Amino acid sequence: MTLDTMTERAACPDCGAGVGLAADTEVTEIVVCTGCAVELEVVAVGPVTLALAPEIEEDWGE
Amino acid sequence: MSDLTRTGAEAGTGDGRPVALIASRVRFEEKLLLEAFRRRGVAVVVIDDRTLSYRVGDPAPAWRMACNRSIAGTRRLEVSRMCEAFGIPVANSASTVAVCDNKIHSTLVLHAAGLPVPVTAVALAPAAGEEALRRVGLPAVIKPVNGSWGRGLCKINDIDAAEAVLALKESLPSPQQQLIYAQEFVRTPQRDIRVVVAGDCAVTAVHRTGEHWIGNVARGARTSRCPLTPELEDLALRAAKAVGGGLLGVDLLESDDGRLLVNEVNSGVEFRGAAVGDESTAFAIAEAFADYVLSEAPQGEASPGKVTQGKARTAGPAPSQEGDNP
Ligand SMILES: Nc1ncnc2c1ncn2[C@@H]1O[C@H](COP(=O)(O)OP(=O)(O)OP(=O)(O)O)[C@@H](O)[C@H]1O
Ligand SMILES: [Mg+2]
Ligand SMILES: [Zn+2]
Repeated sequence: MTLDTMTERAACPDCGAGVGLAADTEVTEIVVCTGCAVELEVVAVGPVTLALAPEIEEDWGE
Repeated sequence: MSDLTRTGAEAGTGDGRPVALIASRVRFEEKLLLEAFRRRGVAVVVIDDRTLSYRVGDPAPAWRMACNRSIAGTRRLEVSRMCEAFGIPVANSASTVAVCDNKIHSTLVLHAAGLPVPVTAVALAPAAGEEALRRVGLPAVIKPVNGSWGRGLCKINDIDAAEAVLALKESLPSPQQQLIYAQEFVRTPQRDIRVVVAGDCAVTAVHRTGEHWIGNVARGARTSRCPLTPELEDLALRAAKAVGGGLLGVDLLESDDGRLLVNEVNSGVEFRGAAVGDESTAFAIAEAFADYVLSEAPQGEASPGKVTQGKARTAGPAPSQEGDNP
């Protein structure tokens, strides 16, 4: 396994499932829980901590 | 300590200060941008825009320059304003962001620069909305003045729909939502064109084809490559210049009567869509964006992309960030 593909696991705060994450995961990245499909935000790395992703707000966009 | 110290020491270039990639979310685009900066041997610090605060007049944070990738329009403007106040070169400039994030402002600026835009009328309150619709004719489109991702666009086919939409507008709470921005409905081949611009270079063009008349990728439109003709390139570069220049997505509409119209210019360009079936396009956009940001380096610093051995340092107080590790 190379550094690029190495994964870490963190628990989904909603359903508790272990979510696999790439080694280069960044804070604020959004991942989808493989257990319950909820959107999760990476709020910390080393170790990775997940929280429910914020709802899209009215002024979001391009 | 803040992120600045944590990630500022990854790589060194120039005077060692990192480039700040200020974002609300690290999306596909931010990942590609991070890789592009790192390939150039540049230290990058990712700053979550929700954690920023600063005291007016304080010394600047130790950022060489900033790439503003905030996803929230309100914070996007404040990020650029803050960087400019600190004397940190930032893409895009606060004035570019302000123009792009307001459809009235951008249409006025594009028209004043001689660019072809859809027939557009503005009413300052819903009471004057029918008058604005008469000025553009039906079918028409009403858009929120600062919306994106195709949200809140209404197609008005007849006077009944006009009355309903204007009544609804009247009931909305914010004064911004009371403004009426009305446009002729442009008949297109159910697609639009996005030209991605970095400075004075048109990087690529894609068609966005949807099932619905609102052809946003955020709404499931498909993208396909569009030849970057001299006409497209010229229009896109002139539109980009008109809004103040920078890293931009220029959206064009091909009318079935032969007009090529500038619909709008986006200051927070997403380019995930450009990668569908063709990773190399998104890659090229990230490269061009990184080069543009680095080209904004203040005079006398090491040239962009030049890798030096020195360890990155962070110096001077940074705007404080709530929490330890946002
Ligand atoms: N006047 C118009 N006539 C016909 N179709 C239109 C018109 N204006 C917009 N559209 C369609 O709706 C889509 C979204 O419009 P527009 O870009 O103005 O909205 P937006 O919310 O700012 O989208 P984004 O910022 O994501 O590009 C366009 O890509 C186009 O397909
Ligand atoms: Mg837009
Ligand atoms: Zn879950």
